[in-house]
Amino acid sequence: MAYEKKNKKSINVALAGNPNSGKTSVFNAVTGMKQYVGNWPGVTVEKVIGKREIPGGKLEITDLPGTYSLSPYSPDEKVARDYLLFERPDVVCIVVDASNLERNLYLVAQIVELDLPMVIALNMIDIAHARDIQIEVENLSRLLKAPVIPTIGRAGEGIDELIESILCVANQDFCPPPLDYGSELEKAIIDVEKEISVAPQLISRCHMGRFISAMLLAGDPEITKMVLSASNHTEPIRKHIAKCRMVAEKRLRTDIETALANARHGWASGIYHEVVKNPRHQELTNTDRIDNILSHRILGFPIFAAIMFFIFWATFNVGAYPMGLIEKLFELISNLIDSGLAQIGTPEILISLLVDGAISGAGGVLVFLPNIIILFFFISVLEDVGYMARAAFLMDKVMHKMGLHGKSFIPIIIGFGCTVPAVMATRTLENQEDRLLTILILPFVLCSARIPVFVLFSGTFFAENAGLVMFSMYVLSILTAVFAAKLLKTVLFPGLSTPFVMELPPYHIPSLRGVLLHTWERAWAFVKKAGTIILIGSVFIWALSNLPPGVDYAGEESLAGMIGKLIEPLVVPFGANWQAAVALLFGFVAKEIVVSSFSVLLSSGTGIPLSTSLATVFTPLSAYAFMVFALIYTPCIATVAVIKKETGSWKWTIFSVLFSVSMAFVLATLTYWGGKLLGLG
Amino acid sequence: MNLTHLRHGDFGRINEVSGSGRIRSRLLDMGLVSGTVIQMIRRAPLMGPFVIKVRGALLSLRPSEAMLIDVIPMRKGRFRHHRGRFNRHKGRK
Repeated sequence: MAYEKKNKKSINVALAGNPNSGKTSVFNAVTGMKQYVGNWPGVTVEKVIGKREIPGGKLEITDLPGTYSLSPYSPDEKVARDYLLFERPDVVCIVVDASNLERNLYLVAQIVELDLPMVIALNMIDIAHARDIQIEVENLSRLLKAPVIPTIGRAGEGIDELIESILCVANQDFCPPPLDYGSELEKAIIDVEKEISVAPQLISRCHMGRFISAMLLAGDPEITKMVLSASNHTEPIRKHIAKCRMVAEKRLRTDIETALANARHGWASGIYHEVVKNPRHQELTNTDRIDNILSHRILGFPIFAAIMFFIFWATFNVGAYPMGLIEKLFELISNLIDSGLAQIGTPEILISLLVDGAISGAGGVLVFLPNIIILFFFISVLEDVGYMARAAFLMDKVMHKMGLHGKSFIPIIIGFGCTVPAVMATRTLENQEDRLLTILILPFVLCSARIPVFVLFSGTFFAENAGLVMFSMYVLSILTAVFAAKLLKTVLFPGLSTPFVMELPPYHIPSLRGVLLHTWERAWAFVKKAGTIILIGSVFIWALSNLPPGVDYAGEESLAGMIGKLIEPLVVPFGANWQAAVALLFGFVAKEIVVSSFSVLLSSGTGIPLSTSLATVFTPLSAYAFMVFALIYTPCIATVAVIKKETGSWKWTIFSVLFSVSMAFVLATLTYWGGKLLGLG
Repeated sequence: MNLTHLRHGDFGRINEVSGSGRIRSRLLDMGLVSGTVIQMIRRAPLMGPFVIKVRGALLSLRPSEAMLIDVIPMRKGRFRHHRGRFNRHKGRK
């Protein structure tokens, strides 16, 4: 037994492929690990690893970010390139989209030169067949000198054969036929290859040197730096490369990059036409037909608006029913616990901790779960269908005017539901600066957790115009986001203009399994992240309100009251008092806590309804200023946590918090004093 | 002429891709190399990005990127994706 264990070996498999090739679905099918399947270019950003037990060992599969080429364009693509080049997996499995074979073979053309044992998963073969694209699989395998396995990742078909082939090639020495770049380029490549023998670890395998040399000739900055740093006499090498480049470019009458891309596309095209006997590039596909309506230059916008409107309608109207049920359920639970524990003589402080702290805190968040699930369900459907890329295409002009990217639009839409998944959704943005900019403006988008605050305040102070006031919050939220985007873009990233080169994936019918899996994962991430943090936060607030022992709950002598008094000067400029300061402070944990804080601070034990006691603290004007502040300052701790996770930087996280709070302060103060000047209170 | 001058459904052969650095290498990687035949499919509302078909795939480009691609117009498309015309080019039949 022990011997057997020792003998177990693990084979490292890298899963590479273009975005939209269904790579993630193949990954799920191989590893059985739950993971997201989408239709956005570049949906897998993190390095995700899965395992698969095989007789006598295991496969360790790394799902690389989708990439179009090995000259990295985004940080994600760099991750993929570096992993293949320097970590050297035992096998690389390239997932290619059978219905888009020619484009996908371009990546294969580059990976071939890395001398890694290679298996091709000819994925989405069903879609290719549906479009009447007949691929000669054996011929393709012969030309690539690697096993080619037709698969349908979504349905899990062909996966066993794929694993078999991976095992089969794992121990082979792989040396495929080199790609012929043409005599001029070949000469230059060989010339450079001789020179870089100073870095033997880079050129140990049979064609690796070719690949590195080609990258050097093309002027890849990182590879150049790496090779030069491996040598003692950098200047001669640099000069030599420049010379080779110049000579070759002169003879080719074009630049090296174009020549290399030409040769690789030529290779891909050659193979494509060899194995596909009825190439159809120009026929009108179903995707074209659907696009004629959905991306129509006049109809496109109204359809998009209608889809978004429907999603929001469904999210909030359909979601309202289970919301009520969850509220009732939590009421019931806290009543049961309250009376049950009291009967067995549990100390009152403990009951209070459980009921006022933990249960009311968790309940406050879980109440939003139906909304989140419905919103994510529709978003997943749209992603899976392929519509999200069209939305980015339609919205790019508007977003670009705001200083953002077409793809920023989707996170903003999600942000109306919850900021946490919205920040996570920015991963689809390839450029770091665009992504950061989007993350920084997302807190201004009015998330559903803020609604209870506005419902309470607009109902209390603007009874007849409550709807209008509510609407004004949405308008203000959008205006603030636009203003912040403009401001940050001008100050932080002047002159930034990311190219918008995006593939529009073909439409396909979403798989229910994929959509449900994705919805479940996002909803679960929300429950987990928000739930744990808010639970801890609620207990913390409870403690602040009850300590030191013996004080009135959240009274002036409690820690919460003392903190409120301390920060009162900061809220006085927009007409609020210390109770409001405490509520806002607690609102950091989650915005909806603002409401429960007020009910605790103002009306607990007095028997006066909250709306009456609120009116003693606020005038309509100061109430509106308070709403403005509540709208704009940092949404919640969970958002802060996810911003830290997604930006990987405390600097930007702290910046985001300070930026939102100061924006909130300035705008609330302006509202208050502007209103005063206009004689509104 | 550059890509922005093609009309819906028209085909063109890429003559040259200008620009530099990352943008250019991205365009090359996406299959926009000289000699490639592309088809103009549509344009987003409000003078937004273009969609072209290249090597069987749909690609969306902003005007600023489309401008970098010099094309030689070929025959007109066999089908029109929709009737609307954009970017009417003076002097063209």
